[in-house]
Amino acid sequence: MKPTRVLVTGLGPVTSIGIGAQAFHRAQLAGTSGTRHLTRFTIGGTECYAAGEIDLPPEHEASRRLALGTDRCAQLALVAAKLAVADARLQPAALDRSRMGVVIGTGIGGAQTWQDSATAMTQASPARLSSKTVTKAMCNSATALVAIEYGCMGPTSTPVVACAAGAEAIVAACQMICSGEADVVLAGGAEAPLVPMVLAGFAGTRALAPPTDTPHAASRPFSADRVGFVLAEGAAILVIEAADHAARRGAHALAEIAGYGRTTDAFHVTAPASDGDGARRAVEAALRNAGLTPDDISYINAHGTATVLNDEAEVRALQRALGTAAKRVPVSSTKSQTGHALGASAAIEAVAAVQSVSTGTIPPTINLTTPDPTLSMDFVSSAPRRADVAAALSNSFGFGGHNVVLAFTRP
Amino acid sequence: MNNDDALRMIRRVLSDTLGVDADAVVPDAHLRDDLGLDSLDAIDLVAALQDELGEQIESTLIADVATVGEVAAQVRRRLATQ
Repeated sequence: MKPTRVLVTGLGPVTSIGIGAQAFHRAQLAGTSGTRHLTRFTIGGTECYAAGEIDLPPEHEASRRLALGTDRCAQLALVAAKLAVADARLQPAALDRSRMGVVIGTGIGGAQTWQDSATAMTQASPARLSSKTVTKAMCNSATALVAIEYGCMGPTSTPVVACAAGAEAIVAACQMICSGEADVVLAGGAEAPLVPMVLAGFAGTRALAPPTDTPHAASRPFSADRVGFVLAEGAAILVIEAADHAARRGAHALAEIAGYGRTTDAFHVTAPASDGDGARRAVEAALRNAGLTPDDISYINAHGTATVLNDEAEVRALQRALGTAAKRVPVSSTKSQTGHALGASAAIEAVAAVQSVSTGTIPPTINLTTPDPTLSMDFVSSAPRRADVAAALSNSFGFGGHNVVLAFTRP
Repeated sequence: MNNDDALRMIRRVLSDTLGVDADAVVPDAHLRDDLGLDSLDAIDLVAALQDELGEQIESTLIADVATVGEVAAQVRRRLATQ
């Protein structure tokens, strides 16, 4: 990463537990659950899946005009960008916008648009779709619309590496800054997967928590009785900025991005490599890249999906990568509260990791009353913990075997 | 379709197609400058008018006009020549 220092100067989370940096942080510390019985649609019988739905307040609701030309995925990204830009006190019009970039990852993009279009194709005769079908549905829609909104004319891109997409976006932002292409990058992830065919598709993988009577407690990472992840929508954008640029405009730095590690399992599309080997290598690579040792790490924001396979492989990976430090490093999973927002999740969790550094608090894993006895780590559960977080890691692993670990330090 | 009916229909179609308030769709409103019509909207607008009138409408019908009132006039002219 050196010599350019890369800072986080603004946060814009849009999640089922809170919208905006303060609301999200408060909800995290309060142990709020954002998962509830799905209200948007039903599939199959009367049993109901849990989901992390977001009720956008009127001030963030898309106008009718915007809604016609955008999928909810991009709409959530636009809200996240607005919040992040405000949080960073960024005034794009006053900056060199040819040096402003945008990188917003997603797993799926405009899922509702594809589903509606498929329905229209079978129902309308002759089949005719809106001229905006493609631009609404395409995965880079959020990136493009945020760039248009803020006039960002530097580099833009859209990583699509499933549940690691938001972290991959932050890596890309760091690289844009370190290579000298950009001064500021709006980076993160967005996902709006609460669509029948996406939910049914994930149910088909058996990775999804089954229908439940207790939706608030459905996402149980690291728990002995964990049953899979809870699908959620969400977005988060971070303002990522070169340190000298941030200093020139008097921006407040929340954390430094000290480094990252990226590896690929090259093993199986859903199952993690044996003993979490790909994840272990990513954690080790992040430490190396950031110039940190396991003893420097004060908090790990886990991928922690609550699937049987992920949580076991992730803990094994952490134990091997951290050695003796694995016994004392606090670990928690944001997905216990928000649900799993796929391509947005890594960006949401990067926000949580940044806030652990900037506030000195570690958010809890909720619904973790009985940890899996085979997974022994210092899980922060039931209540947040105060800690001097000098360095935090955020893990993200995507279907396909994509592993990205981000390292944040105090600026 | 008399003048009032044509204008009423145009206002509804424009409001639905552009996602703008029906109150903003006044005869003097400029499609691009006031209502934000872009090239993709123009395609959807022609399609919506075809649905409404049950016949082929050439895209030139929209290309050569600037205001809501002019769209209504074009539609009336077209209906009158049938």
